[in-house]
Amino acid sequence: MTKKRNKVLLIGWDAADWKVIFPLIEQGKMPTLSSLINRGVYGRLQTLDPPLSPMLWTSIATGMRADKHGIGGFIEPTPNGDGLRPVTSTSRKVKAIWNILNQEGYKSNVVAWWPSNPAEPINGVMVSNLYQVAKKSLTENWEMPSGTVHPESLSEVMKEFRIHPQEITLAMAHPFVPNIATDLELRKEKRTFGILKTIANAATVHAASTYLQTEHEWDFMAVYHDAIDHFSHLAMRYFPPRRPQIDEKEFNDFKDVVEAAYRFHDMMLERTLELIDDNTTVILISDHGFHSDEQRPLKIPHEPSGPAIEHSPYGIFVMAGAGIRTGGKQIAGASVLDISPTILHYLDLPVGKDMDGKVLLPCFENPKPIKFIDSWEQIEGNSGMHNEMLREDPWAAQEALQQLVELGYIEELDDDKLNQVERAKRENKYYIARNLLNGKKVNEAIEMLLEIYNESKILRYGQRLAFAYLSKKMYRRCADLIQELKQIAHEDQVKFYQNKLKDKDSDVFKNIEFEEPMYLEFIEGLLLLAINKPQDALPILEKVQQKNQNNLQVALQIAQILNQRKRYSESEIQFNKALEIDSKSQHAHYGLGISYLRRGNNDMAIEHFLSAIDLDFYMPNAHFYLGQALFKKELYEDATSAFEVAVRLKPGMTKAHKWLLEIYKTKLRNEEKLNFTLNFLKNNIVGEITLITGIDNCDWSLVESVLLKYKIPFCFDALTRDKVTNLHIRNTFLHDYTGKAIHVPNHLLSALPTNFTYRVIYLNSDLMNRNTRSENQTIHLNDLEKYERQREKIETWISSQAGLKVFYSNDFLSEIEQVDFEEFMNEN
Amino acid sequence: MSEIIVVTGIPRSGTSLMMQILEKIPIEIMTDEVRQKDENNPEGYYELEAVKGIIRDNSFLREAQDKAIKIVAPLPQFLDLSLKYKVIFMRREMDEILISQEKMLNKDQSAEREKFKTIYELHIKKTYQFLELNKIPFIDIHYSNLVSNPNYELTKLIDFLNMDLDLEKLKASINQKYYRNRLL
Amino acid sequence: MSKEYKITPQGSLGLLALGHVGIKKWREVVEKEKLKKTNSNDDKKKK
Repeated sequence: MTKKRNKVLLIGWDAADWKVIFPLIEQGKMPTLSSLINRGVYGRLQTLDPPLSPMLWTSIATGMRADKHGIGGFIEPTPNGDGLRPVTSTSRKVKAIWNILNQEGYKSNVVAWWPSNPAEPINGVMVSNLYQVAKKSLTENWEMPSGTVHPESLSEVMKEFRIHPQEITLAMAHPFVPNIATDLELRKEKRTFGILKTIANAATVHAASTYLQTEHEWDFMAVYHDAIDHFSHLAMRYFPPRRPQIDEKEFNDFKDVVEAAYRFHDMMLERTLELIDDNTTVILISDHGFHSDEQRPLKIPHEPSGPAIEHSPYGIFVMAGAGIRTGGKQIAGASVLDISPTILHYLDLPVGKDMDGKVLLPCFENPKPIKFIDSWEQIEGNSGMHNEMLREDPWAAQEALQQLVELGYIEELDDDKLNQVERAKRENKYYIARNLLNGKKVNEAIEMLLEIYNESKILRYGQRLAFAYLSKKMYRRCADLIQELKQIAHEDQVKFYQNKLKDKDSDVFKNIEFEEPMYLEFIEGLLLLAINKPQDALPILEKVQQKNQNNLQVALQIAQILNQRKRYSESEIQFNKALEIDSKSQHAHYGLGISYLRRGNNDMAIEHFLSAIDLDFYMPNAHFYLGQALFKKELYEDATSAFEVAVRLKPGMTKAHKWLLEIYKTKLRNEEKLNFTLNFLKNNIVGEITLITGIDNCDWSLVESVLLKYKIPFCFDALTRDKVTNLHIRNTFLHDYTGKAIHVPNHLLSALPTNFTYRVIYLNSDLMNRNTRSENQTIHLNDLEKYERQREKIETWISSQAGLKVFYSNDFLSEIEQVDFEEFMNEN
Repeated sequence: MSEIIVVTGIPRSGTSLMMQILEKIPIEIMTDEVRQKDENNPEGYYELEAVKGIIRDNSFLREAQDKAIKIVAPLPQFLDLSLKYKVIFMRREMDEILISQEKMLNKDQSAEREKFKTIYELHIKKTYQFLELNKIPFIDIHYSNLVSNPNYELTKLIDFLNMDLDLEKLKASINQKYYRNRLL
Repeated sequence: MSKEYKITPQGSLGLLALGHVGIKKWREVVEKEKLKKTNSNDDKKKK
């Protein structure tokens, strides 16, 4: 007897966004979705970079990033290598969820997934994403390309369920464009046609899916709707409220499109849910969101995939069914990569370790331990994938043909076509590189970006490369590249203005002043921050913010610098700005907590630290400072709870232990807990020693006087120096120096024992003697080189010490460094 | 319908040598001698310019009935399937091929050998897949065997072509000194 | 689930939302309407 398995229905609504949905639900305009949420769980679904739909929907179906699944963009070369075509299902290198389920004996129906043409030979029915495509006019014989339906025998039947845009009536279009009833010109408008086409597409996919739902038995079903994305790209700019740059008549004509789109989807969802039984679990997702408020960009960059700038980083996720929690519980931390692993786990199947996503255990009522296998790719079986002969990497095949051209065996391809293919290839590599960066595979990303940037000197590629260099701490290369890119940006700008003068287009999207998105300046600002020059970084970041009011990262960086500089009322404004951009930014809440704490407003501090922790529990510093705020309010029990969590999350947090000691000794007088903490400290953390390193000789009395302010005696007497010289032989003397500072030459750092915690002050010898600062250049390239060399020297040692605090000083202790140093010394 | 004999393989696998052999049988060669003989192929290349455009236009194949034509891998995948073929697939050690190509192109590609290996293996795979999928008869002839110990390979060839041939005469047509770049 | 649906040739989004069943019925109504029109046109021509 076979166990009755739960069925799973996965519905995709491309670009659906909670910010549009929630108000509609409140107004009672999406009742089906509202009730679905209440039946189960919901949350934000984090997207990947770049947020391009074919890559994302493949990541959703495979649980892997693009470098593994092989779909790197919208297009690929034709097998002849002489042209380009939309990306096909044969280019996918790994199994999709329906292939895995196929192997396990499941029957699946897949409707219009992207990319899914040609349809794969699965056990069940697959209708590819070419199904709904219609030519402009409805002819007698509306052809359906071969490979659209599997099995072939169903083609004739499926043909009938397609709806052509010309069949869409005024009554159907009316909710989208009400003025269509009276405005005859509007009916002929290009945008109106786009709307009719998209309604027809959605209705077609829906008809196919209701048919398959009811007439073709299934265990798993996946349906993909791209309509909301199309409607949004077409009409989100007209979504209320109207911005001054948007033409009034156009606004009035098209302001209802987006709402109508969502309402129509709710209606389709209602029908779909009517047709399932109680044993079906429903998952509704989108691959990314869509900006619907002030964050809507006013111009689309003139580059391939430019419209993706309208996408927002969070899509939707809803899940309801047997074994899933109920009551509309909110799930945090979900990403598009998690869908397939979660489905596998739900069906009691193991998850591949090679999948980049995780199982969303918080969705389950009674979460079970997750089973793992190395990879589903290694498991033989009837997966229903295309015959191996058809599956290949189209880019490799194209390159291979190029080789033959070079050898003179085939004729040169048309120059134009070749250029097109080359450009598309580079663009694809750019997307894959971004994907790699997003997945923290920086070295591979750098290799790829370097290649395409050197070939083409395109600004976008270079910018991304600079960012990659920065994240790898390759500061010199980053700075060099930034200089080069500034030159290219300048040339691009000149070219743009020259073209603009020729082109008197009145479209609002072309008339807006050319703005370099200031990505370069942003990287420059981050670079300065990375080499401990926040005072130089700040003005640059502020400039960036002027042109990027809605960039969360910029707002946070500025706010954090202001906090460091004790400009708390200003940082408050910036953190609040960040919250306006993303109300769920735990870093913004944390920063606000600090700014209130330092100003003595403990209540507000507590509120914000709690918000931060709510969004992301793993923030040991948030718990620590929460403890401080609670202490100040004399809520000692609560304070100890907070400190206890802090040390649990970060056992090396000495300061937290000290606070606990203080409380148990003087406030709560808990003998038992006091002894426990003392013991813990004794056994695990022997004490903290401040190390001065970097240079071998300098004015020690200067250092001594600085450290004295922090009540740390600096021991530079001959006896101590002797002991240090023999550190590698005997180090027990260090016990006498806890709470004090000593000088340790670079080469002896690795001899230091690990049972102490260290606070390192690295003095840069070459810069110590420099007195003047150049006015114009904010980054001295020579300084950077030396800086990098220093870092390299102690890098290995640093990386072996968990949680080491290092302060790099270029000018100890100038006015500029004082504030940073204070922050450094006050850190727990 | 009569057949077209296609000699295929990665460039520098002995395709020209095979054409030479076929000519001696004799089988009519479809060539236009655009690429003149040189030190890399003293007996000539036996190529047809029209093959270079095969992706775009394969109509020249209709003139090739009962003739032999050289079409390097993976170009056979662009054959006109309404015609009939017999395919001779020249195989050679990959490293030898690469060295030979470098010599011909007169450039040092040693750094990229791995990349080319992958590409060529792909070419070979695609060609075999195409032949198998479309049930086109073919045999493998190994270049090194052909030169060092021709009896076996030539007998295979004669059988495949279903012809009445003098083995000794054929053997004489293979000139040892053209087995260049041999790895030791 | 039974719902009463009045199907007109103009149709509605609700009809499209019904899926394949709705499409089928709607096209039947549209065909009937077309036939009625051609018949009445023929009648007019005869007269």
